[in-house]
Amino acid sequence: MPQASLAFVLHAHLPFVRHPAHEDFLEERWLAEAITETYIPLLEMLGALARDRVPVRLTLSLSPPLLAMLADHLLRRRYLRHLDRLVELAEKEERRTRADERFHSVAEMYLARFWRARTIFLDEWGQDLIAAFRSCQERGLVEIITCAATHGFLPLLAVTPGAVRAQIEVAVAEYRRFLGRTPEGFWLPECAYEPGLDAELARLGVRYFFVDTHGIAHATPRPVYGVYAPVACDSGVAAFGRDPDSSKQVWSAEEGYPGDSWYRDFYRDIGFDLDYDYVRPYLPPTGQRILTGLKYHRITGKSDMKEAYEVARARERLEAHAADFVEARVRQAAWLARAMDRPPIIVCPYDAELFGHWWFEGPWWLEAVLRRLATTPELRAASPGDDLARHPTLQRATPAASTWGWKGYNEVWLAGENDWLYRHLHATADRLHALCRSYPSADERTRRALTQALRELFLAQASDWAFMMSRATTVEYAVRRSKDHLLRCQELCAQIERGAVDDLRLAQLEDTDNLFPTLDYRVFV
Amino acid sequence: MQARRGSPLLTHPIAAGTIHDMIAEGLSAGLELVGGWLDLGGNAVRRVGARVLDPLARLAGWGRAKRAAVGERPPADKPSPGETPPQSQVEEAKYYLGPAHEPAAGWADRESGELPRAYGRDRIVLLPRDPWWVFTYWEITPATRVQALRALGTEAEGARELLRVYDVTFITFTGDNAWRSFDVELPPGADHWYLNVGRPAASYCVEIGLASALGRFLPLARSNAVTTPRATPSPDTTVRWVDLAAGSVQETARAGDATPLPSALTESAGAEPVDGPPRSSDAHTPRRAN
Repeated sequence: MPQASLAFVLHAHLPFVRHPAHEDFLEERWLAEAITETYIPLLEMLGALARDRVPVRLTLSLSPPLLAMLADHLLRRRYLRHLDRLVELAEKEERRTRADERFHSVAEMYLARFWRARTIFLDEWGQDLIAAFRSCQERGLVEIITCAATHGFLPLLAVTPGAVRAQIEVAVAEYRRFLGRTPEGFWLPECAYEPGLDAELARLGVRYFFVDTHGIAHATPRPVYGVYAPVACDSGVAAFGRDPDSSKQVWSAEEGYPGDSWYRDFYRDIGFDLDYDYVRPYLPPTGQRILTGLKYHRITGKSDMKEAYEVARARERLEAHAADFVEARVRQAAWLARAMDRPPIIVCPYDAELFGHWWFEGPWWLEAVLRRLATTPELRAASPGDDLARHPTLQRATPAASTWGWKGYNEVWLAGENDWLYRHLHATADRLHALCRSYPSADERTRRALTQALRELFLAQASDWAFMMSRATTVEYAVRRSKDHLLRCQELCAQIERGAVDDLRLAQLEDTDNLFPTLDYRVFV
Repeated sequence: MQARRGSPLLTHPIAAGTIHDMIAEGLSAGLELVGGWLDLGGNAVRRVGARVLDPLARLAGWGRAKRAAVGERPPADKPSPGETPPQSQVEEAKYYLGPAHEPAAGWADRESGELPRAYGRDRIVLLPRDPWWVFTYWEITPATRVQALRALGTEAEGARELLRVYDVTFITFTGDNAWRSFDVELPPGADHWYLNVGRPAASYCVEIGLASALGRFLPLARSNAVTTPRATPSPDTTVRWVDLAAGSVQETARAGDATPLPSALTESAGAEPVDGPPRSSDAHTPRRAN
């Protein structure tokens, strides 16, 4: 029987959040939590597997804003401060819970975990996690791919000429800057594809991207292998489709593994449970109670009555879930082998932050799955790039427009809560586009102003803001960020049009919104 | 819309070969997952359509998605808390720090201004939302409006603002060659609209204009064209292979797969209305390779 390929694809992304004017900005914790709970545990897992010489192959998408934040010195310093506070809190917790046998071992686990995170972040990698991931790529453990410059929802930006191209071109340039080569693959933000997008990827040498299941199922002509082999777009770029079965096992609310009652509960946190004065030093300056990351309870059931978390029991469950997952893939591979005349590839894409942040045990589960794969002859871990190298002959088809969002299309990003945004995004992009085109070359000050205006436009285009508005999470922040970047872009456009660039203001914006340091406005002509 | 559950591949006579069958089996399991959400969407669309249709729009077969009244929201088929899809929940968790947390007081680095209410340029833009709905927004400058009313002369009295939506599937639209068109009458002050075109894999273009009492239509701006996504497997079962390593296109390699479909099957998907042109829904048909 031919060996089926299993391609885990983890998409790691956070919007660019950096507020140098504030000593402690609440939303900067998004990055801190993702580093502690997802990115470092993933690195740790890859390290452990490599040490044990387990053959590993993951695909990891690192979005350009995430790369920019991981490279930023201010955010690194702030992360370290955050981690130090966490260690301090965990030490207090270890002492506080000594008499409580239910919670003490959990408190000890957190303390050890935060110390380890500190060691990995500071001692092993000198605060440079990008170097850590790059090293994993160089050792063949992961295939790192990129994503649009600021995670713009491309089909809704396409009315401005050049807008989609700029999002893609800058992403590829950033990838080259950080990872030293051209990305093989591209994660379309929210898997939002429409026919024609692939040609923009082809221009830059990208070889593959992903779509949701129905993007392949509804492709034209109809793909004979369904999602179990990539198709080649007219542009020659390959499209891989998401496997619905493995997706369901992990994502589904009813059947999904992360909902197991022995797994750690995400919401129950000492930031809410303990005495206010005790946790106050670890809350934001406003003093509001928020999640601290120390959580002592397991999911238990649907009620609010939660029982204490038991690491050993959770580990038993994840071993069982890993075994179940691999067995299901072996069965799947067996019937696919009967139906196909090429080895199938089963593509399992997930948000990276699912692992560790939302599903605490996720990285352990992934490690257990990868260890089992190594001893399962029917399956092998592979990247889409590996699969293309082995099987370069593909059926020609154009995937259907689709996304991996709720209901499968654009509705999350184009709804009553966020549709007001697009007239401003388009008008501002059109204005800047015309302005950039009118300067085939520019003096230094104009060049800087045009480039900064483009940074602001990119930041406004992030799909995250529309997502937050439509999902009613941190709406005010999302609205504010969208408007601020649009206003900054418009202000710079007005200054350039008047021939009166305000140097002080420009320098201030360059300092605040400092991503893409090598950007040149001529990418947007 | 019911046909999205379960893959028509399963019952497709031409797809009766083992490969097709088994892939279809796998896909149909998957499509049920996607289909679950889609069906939810289909229901929601129908629900919304029933609730907000005004008589004129109902006659024309268009869903009216938003009234211009300030503060009223377009169709909010958001999931109720009980039906939050797990994937969105995970994505939300990235941003969850605590219940309804407030932005930092004295947020010093925010901009004080507000976005312009208008950009001083006549424009209408069309965006795809899903296989059945498109969204449009527009801006018409006061000068253009005055000029248009002047052009209508004596007919200006009682002129109404309209959206004229053209089905331009397979067509390079020149203003008078659409397959068909429908009008949506707008209340004063409206500046965006959700249109229930109800037709996957079809292309649309919209004009905003003034209609005189005598029925003369004076367009003020024309939008870009958009194509709604396919919502069902393609009736096109052509199989052609391309060797990406060599960059060459090889001709159809499998007997049977390229057999033309009986025409009845092209409508088997069910989601696409069978009345009126265009019959086919292959707006995404790729260009022929040389």
